[in-house]
Amino acid sequence: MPHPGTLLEISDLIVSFDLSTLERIPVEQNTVVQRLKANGQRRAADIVARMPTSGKMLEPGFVDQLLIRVHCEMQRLSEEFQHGRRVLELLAPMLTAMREQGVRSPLRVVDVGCGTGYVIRWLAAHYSELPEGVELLGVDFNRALVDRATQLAAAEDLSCTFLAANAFTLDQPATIFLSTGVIHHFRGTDLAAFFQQHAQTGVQAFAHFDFQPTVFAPIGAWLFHWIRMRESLSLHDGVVSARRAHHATRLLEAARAGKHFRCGMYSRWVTPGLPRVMQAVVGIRDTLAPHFRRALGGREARLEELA
Amino acid sequence: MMALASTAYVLVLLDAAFSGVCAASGRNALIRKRGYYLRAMWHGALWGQAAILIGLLLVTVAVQFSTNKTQALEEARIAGWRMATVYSLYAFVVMSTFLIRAYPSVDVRSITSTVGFGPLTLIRPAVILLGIAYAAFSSPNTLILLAAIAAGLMMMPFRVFLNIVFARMSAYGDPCVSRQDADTDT
Repeated sequence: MPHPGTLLEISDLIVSFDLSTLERIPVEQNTVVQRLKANGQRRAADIVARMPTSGKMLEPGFVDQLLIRVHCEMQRLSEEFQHGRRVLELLAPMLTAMREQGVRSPLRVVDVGCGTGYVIRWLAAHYSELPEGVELLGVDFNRALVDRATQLAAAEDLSCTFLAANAFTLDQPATIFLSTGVIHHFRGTDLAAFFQQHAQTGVQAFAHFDFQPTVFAPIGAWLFHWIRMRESLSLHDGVVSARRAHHATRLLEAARAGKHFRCGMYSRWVTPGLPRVMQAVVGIRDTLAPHFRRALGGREARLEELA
Repeated sequence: MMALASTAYVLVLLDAAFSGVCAASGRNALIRKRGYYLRAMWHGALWGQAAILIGLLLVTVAVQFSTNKTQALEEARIAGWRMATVYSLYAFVVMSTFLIRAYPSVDVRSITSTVGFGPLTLIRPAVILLGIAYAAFSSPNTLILLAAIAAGLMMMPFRVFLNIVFARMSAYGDPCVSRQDADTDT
């Protein structure tokens, strides 16, 4: 059994993109299968081995449809764990602090690795709870997921945009970067590099939510996904995500390395000893930090030291 | 007997409606879908009527084919109440969890998902078996026992059945193809 930190997620392996052009790179099925087997993940290897191919390559159309179904299923987790509301409770005080400090409109909120855009669409559906002049943008490498997010937003007339792009090289840069369930995908030096990319002009803050790696997380994740998921990929990756989640110390070390933001953990404990399912690593520009704390109001106690 | 029939009807109806929600979950990625879930409950409850009719038929046949019909009816009543007692307790816990979840707190709602609905869904088959076992301890005749077992076990694959049915219904298909799911509030 591999160490949780070295576990691989199937969805990371069955699609690949050229990071400069975002063009799809064909993925050889056997390479993925062998890599999973070599890592001791035989069940995951079996799941990939059953996928259809064109020649030796995984069938891109099948993979896209599978990932759309998986994101649709996984949205249950976001709905049941109130990810939209959870993000809004942190985002609204950030935006309020920026308004108070005269940060110019539009305040552009960019969801990094948005998938089918649940959080951005949820925020758009609750737009009245956000300050004026906020733009909501979801960004992902995967064009199929971005297209589906756009369709879903259009189906409900939601005021938000989705782009297949690199979130850190947008023409119109972000004011706030956020993500949900994404940062555990960055391992080793990639995690520090991820946070390093936030240090660009215009970016005032970030908030990245992910599972909290407690002793309860693996069994809780297994129970949750085993009961609710239909796709074997959803079950596998859902459980592995919880097992791979970074500890707060690791997240803070990476986030604080750049010294561009004051960083801290948010919302780790319901009460001492009772952990929340999700935690967030938060970063905010020095001048905004005291205003942000004040804007949090009754939730200020949930924000640990900003340093 | 009417009280038992009413209790059993309400219990099966509740289970069927919530089974509808389970079968519909994870198929629709829209944000505003209260209407979608209400429709799923309605469809689940409709299929539940069929389950109720089959259950009623099983008990009627068992009583009719018993040598002493009056005694068989009494045994069916006792076994039925025993099953209803177990299932009522389970339904009470489920409904209480829904009441707790109504509290507008991210934490409370997350906790009800992880330590409430998850385990409750997991133990549902065990609860069904427990009800049957409790009924069997009242020592009914073989036909009544078989009817109780068949009626109880029928609810076990009900969610799997609804999953298969919903997978074929356009109402639970791709929401981007049809906009009918986008017509309700949050």
